[in-house]
Amino acid sequence: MLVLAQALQMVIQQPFMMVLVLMGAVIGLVFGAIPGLTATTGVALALPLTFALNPEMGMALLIGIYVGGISGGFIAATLLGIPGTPASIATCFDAYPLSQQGQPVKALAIGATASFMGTLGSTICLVYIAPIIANIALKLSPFEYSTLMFCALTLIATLAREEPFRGLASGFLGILLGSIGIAPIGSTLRFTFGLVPLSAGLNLLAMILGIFAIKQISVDYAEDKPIPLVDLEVKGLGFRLGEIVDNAWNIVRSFLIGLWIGFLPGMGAGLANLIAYAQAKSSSKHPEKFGKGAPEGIWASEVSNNAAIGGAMIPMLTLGIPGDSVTALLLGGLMIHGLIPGPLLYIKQPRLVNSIFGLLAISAVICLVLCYLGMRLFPRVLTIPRHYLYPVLMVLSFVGSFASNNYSFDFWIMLLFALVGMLMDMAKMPMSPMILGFILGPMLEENLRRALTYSAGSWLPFITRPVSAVLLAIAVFSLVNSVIKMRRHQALQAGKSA
Amino acid sequence: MNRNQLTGSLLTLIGVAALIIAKDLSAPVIEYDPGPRFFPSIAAVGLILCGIAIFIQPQGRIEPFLTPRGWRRMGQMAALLICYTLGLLYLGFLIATPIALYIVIRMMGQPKSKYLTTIVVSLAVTFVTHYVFQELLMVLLPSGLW
Amino acid sequence: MRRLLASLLTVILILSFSWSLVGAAEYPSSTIKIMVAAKAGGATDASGRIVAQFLREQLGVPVVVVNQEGGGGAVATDSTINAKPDGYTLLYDHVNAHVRYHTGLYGVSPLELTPIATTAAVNQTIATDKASPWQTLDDLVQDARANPKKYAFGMQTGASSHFLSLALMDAADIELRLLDAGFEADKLAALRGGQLNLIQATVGAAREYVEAGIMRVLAVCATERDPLAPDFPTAVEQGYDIVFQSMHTLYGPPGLPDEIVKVISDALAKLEDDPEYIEKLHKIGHVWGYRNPEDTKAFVRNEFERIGRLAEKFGLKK
Repeated sequence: MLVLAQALQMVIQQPFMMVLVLMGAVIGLVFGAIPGLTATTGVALALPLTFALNPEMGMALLIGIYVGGISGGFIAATLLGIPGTPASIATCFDAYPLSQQGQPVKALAIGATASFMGTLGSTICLVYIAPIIANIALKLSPFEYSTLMFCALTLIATLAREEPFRGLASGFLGILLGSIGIAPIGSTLRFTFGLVPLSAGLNLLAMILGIFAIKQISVDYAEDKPIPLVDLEVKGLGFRLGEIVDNAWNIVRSFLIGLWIGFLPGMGAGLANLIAYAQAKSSSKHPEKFGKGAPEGIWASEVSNNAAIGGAMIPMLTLGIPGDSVTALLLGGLMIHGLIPGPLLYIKQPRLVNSIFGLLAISAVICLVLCYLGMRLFPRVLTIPRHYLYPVLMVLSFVGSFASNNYSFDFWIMLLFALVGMLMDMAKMPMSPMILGFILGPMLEENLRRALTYSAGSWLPFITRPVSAVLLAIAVFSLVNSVIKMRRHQALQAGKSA
Repeated sequence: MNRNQLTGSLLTLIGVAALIIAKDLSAPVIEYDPGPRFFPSIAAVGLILCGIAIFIQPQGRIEPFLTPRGWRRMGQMAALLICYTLGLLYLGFLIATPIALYIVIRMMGQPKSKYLTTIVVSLAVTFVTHYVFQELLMVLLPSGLW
Repeated sequence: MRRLLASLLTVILILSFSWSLVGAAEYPSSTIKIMVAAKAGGATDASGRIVAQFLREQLGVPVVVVNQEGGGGAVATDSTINAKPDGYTLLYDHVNAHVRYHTGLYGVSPLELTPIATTAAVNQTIATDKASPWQTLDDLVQDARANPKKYAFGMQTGASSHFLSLALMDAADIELRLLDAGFEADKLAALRGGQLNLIQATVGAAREYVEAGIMRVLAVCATERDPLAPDFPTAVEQGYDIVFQSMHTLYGPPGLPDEIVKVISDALAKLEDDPEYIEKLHKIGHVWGYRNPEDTKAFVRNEFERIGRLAEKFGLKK
């Protein structure tokens, strides 16, 4: 623990740095909590400000925003059913029902604690094992990436156990939507119908705001339902300590998933939470409780998305390869000072690397404290009359969909997906497979096609390369497993109705 | 047509359309690349198969998604959202937002919301948002076609 | 309701009136938007921001960077083309503008835009793994001539690195296997992993990896040695005419009046004498390469034709 302790000490001894990281964490939490503003937006906006600071101070602000932004997402997900950021999509599925059942404080407390565990745990991994596992990223070829993504895609079957065909259809729809725009290899435009804005592909943030925020506001207005009563009392931690023990394996598994997904270039917290959630559901003894307020789901989603932070920092610091969209920006923040992360950074800038470790750990603590301090305050949002809350959310959704790309076309994408979301609700199609397909589809395509050009068209390396073969076996096992469980589920249903 | 049949045929239709469009995508540039049409075609075929499967599933009992009154309210909301978007594009954020806010708050809050409070809230939200984004964060909001 | 309507009309009238007043004032009098055809945090964005900051100091009005990376920059170009030619919307782009047009990604030719100035350049290198037997560009060329289609060059299909590989094959008259390898960092991983024999890398990145002892630079694709890495030989001095710089260029919408072009261009010309800014650019691996509007126009046309010829020859033209 010596390295981390030294790193922490170094940060605490610099008051200006503490102020910056605290400021960053507050900004990050606000960005994370407001639907439409994400950790990526926050870091992108703060990036130019850090050009004037020295690299360590700049990192203090940016890392605060990063950790705060990923952590804060659960607040809106819990209270409003709208993911504050893509990193908290899966949090909505259970935290919102739990909060609607009158237990927002419990849901928030789990979210805050899980986020803290994820960030701190992954920071420890970053400090102690980064140099060891960094080279794995160099050893993985497109073959392994392809099978890995295929493996992740098979989770769609898990997410849609109750309605397998609707779930799969939703997944395929997501893959089709993901292929809009420039094809990942070669400059072919697909499904753009001659519209220039579509060549950029669909903006994930605008989609999510449409599916969750605008649809939710519209349907709630149309249904005109009364607001449920909420329990605002905070007792101790907000949940029983025993729950951590009950969820121990779930937490460890979600943590490892998050760390690994974050570590792989190009994927981040936005994917980690969905995969950890699906895994938690597939190995739970009570999968039928998922989506109806199961605390297990909140643990899985919030531990994994924060674990992705440390994971994404590993290849960024050691190889100069960003693990997700935020670390790509952090890389930019270092580059502007002439610091190029890579094999030499640890040797040339030990102080900077150390303070990054310390900053991550401090940010985790700050976010936990701020979340617990705000625990009484946040649910008050629910007591704001809905005719004020919803219009404000509507405006923020519009601003958020615009701010991420500065393109007014995204308004229409958002409205279109509010409609799509509503139609899918009517057709009883689950939404999460579509989002998973949308994120994973283009990555799988890119790596699969790249792999085939490397092997001169042969599919054999997928089986002969050991890592790839293992991953394929896991994918097949999980598919067979979910078919069996699905059969059992249907037999049970049939038995009940008979 | 029941809901399963409607869903199934709609999905199949999307799949077929995607398949037709994908067929015309240009040939690969580098050797052994299965090309840009390969992947969407798989997804489209999958979608068609699922669509057919849903089509032939027996239809259970269904509850209506919204009541007729609900649909009327949904219509109002949709109209408002579209008008607000057009307003943002043509009038700009500073003009479209207070108007839209005023209308939504009145729409949602009748008869609870008061004229004066509504006006104050609409203007305050607009200016605070505008100040925070445009001045503090340097994110330019839509300025309309002036 | 009538009163509301009346007050609304008044507000609109006042606003439009004040706007026309602003429009009549001397340029520049309000916020200038620079559309950057790359995402925030990258090298193009960084150099765009440095230029924006300098312009802000020179012109005394806010200059804001707006990132629109979508469609490989097509979205940013589209926003600029459709903007009013009033000098308040500009585009910051590089060789990708030509690549986009010639590969059919975006239908409007970059020649329609008003060129204002070239700014910062990034030099590109052709690099190989440290363990490779090739010491010079010539070694590679001899080997590749004896073994056509054997060696793999990692590039991003349809992007500027694709055209760099074509320029190499064209100038040296060799045949390489072109493999898609994504962005710089992915390419490095594949080079180290042995799936690739050659990659394109920016001088800034290459310098770092050469120092770390894992990469060798065969040539810088420029006419002159890069001041940031004077020991990297150029392709030209080794006898191969491969010139492939990412020259960042500032454009205005079609029909931008000459007076406005001159204001911006003159302001930019002064950056050369500001050591602080030159230092900032060097830190991100860029070198200053200002050209005045006429030279910029000629430069853009020349680049456009060169990329067009390569696209035609290698069958990428759409």
